[in-house]
Amino acid sequence: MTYKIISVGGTGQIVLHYYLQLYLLGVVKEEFDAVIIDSDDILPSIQAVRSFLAGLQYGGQTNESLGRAKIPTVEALRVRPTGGDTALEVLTGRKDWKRTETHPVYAFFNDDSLRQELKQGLFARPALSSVLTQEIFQSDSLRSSPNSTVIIVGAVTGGTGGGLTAPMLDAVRTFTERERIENVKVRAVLFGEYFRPQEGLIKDAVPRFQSNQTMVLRSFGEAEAAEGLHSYSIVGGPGVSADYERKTETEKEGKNIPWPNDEGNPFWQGVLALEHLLRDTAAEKVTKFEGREAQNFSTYFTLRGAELRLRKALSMVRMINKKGALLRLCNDPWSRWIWGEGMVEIAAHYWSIAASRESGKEGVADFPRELQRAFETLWRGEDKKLGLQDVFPNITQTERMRPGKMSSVRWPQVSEGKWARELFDDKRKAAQRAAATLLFWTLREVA
Amino acid sequence: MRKKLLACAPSSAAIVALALLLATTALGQPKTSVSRTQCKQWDDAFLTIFNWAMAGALIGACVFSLLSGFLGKFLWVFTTPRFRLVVVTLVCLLAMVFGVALGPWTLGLGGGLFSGVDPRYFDCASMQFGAEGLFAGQLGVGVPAIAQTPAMIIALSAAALIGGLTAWLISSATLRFLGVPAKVRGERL
Repeated sequence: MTYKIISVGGTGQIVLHYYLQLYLLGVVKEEFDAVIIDSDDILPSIQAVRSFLAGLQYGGQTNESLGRAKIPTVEALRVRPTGGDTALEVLTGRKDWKRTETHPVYAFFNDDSLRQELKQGLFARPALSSVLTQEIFQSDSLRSSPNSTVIIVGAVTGGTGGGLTAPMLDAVRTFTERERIENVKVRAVLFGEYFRPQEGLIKDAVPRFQSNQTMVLRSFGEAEAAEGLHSYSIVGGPGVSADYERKTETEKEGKNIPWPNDEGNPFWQGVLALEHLLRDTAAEKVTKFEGREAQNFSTYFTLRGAELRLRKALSMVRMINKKGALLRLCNDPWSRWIWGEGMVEIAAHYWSIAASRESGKEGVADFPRELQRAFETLWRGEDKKLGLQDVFPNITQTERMRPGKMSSVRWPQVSEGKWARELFDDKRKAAQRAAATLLFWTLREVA
Repeated sequence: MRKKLLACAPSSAAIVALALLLATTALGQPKTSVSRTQCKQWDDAFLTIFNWAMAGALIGACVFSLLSGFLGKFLWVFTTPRFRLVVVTLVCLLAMVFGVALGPWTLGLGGGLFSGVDPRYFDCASMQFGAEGLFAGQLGVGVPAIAQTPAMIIALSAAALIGGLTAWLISSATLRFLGVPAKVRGERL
């Protein structure tokens, strides 16, 4: 079974942001591919995770890491305006358009909508998304594989989510039917009204959001596209009190975004719905659209449990950095006893790879130092590039982690013949990939 | 590490100063009726303890330093090979210095480790009774062991340091056979 998550718009990105963290912490067990579709920038935190996951590449097969046949991929399809910064420029091809002139676009949009800057989103105008680009609907990233579950996550109230969720569903269905891909379940996590709009950011935000929601949900219920929808879940929605306050600036900065405070948080609800719909194999498709809504979720994890994992994993990684543990690992005859056989094997394996790329062991005597440095860089980031510590929330309460905990990690077996030479140019690259592997397994497995 | 070692220097000086003071005090004890034979007997007993302590400092510092890696699984400070060697060596050194060389004053005579040495041994400090001296007469022949406390401190410290140094050499050598470098195979991979 393979899983694909299509995150549409800002809400889709935030849900993916949390879901990726849960994957890194080992709370989410299964691998998946993620596709982000947004007119806005990709969240820096997601970019950081994508870069980190790419650093895990080990074998020649796509996304093959050590001990994992396939690691998650994150692909971004930016819905960019082509030919101008505003819808008016895109549609008319001119920058100096005067309001007094006439043009067919005014039959569909008013002047306010047409003159909005599109660089940072569609500002709750779903109709604008459909005039920006059609290319994304032909993207190979939307192609599903046999025996797979595809889940579309997005808010139906916003501009991008509202405008692209239904066409995206149709695009996935079209691919599946045209190429006769078997056993593909298409599901959706749809966010209705779930937050209180910031005042002044969007004019008449509440009625516009509600109108978008009505339009999209109604089209889902009636349109042919919804025929392909196996099941769905709605977070928030009509009649639900939308008192959640989104901090869009913090979200866009993407650094140390706090975790939800309670299980009722809409993003957490979205994450739970996503996990349920991904893993649910029992539910049969119901003919009536209303009957396809998943309401009783299986509880695969809880917020408190995930927070404990977070504290443990972060506490351990902090100690490894603070104490220079990888340097100690490589210089200690007791390393097998303290850190465990698996960790020693991995460090030695990548050290061997470095040696084979640098003409022998003499040229890589400083590999332990390189390894420790690479680990710290991955965690702390460098220059303006976020590290993984910026992806996770700041934790105030730490867990006491003994070094011996590392020996209980189920480290992957090294497979000497499988590493792809082109990925390991020199000892630095080998150290970076070794550090990524050690960090990945520490985060996921240390308990 | 260097700072920590430097921080130990004043305390080492203080130990030597204390030892000198205690030795002087011992020499100045009021004399009571103690026979030369008794002094010889107690001095020999004390020397035996000292000789065992020398061996203990040397072997203990070496063996415990090597085995202290066992604690690395539980304590982060013990995951640093050099640090744990220094710590264990210093612990052995201090244990032997305070337990044996300064033992008559810190633990007292006549009981425990010093059960074979009578408390009146202090009175022998200034007596001539044919004391053997340290290291089978190699150092301070005719001077009672209790009057050679500074020399004993230096000797025990040296033994512990040699033990620690030996442990470091063994540890460095075994790293090539047991540690991560032992698994690195270089260009043959």
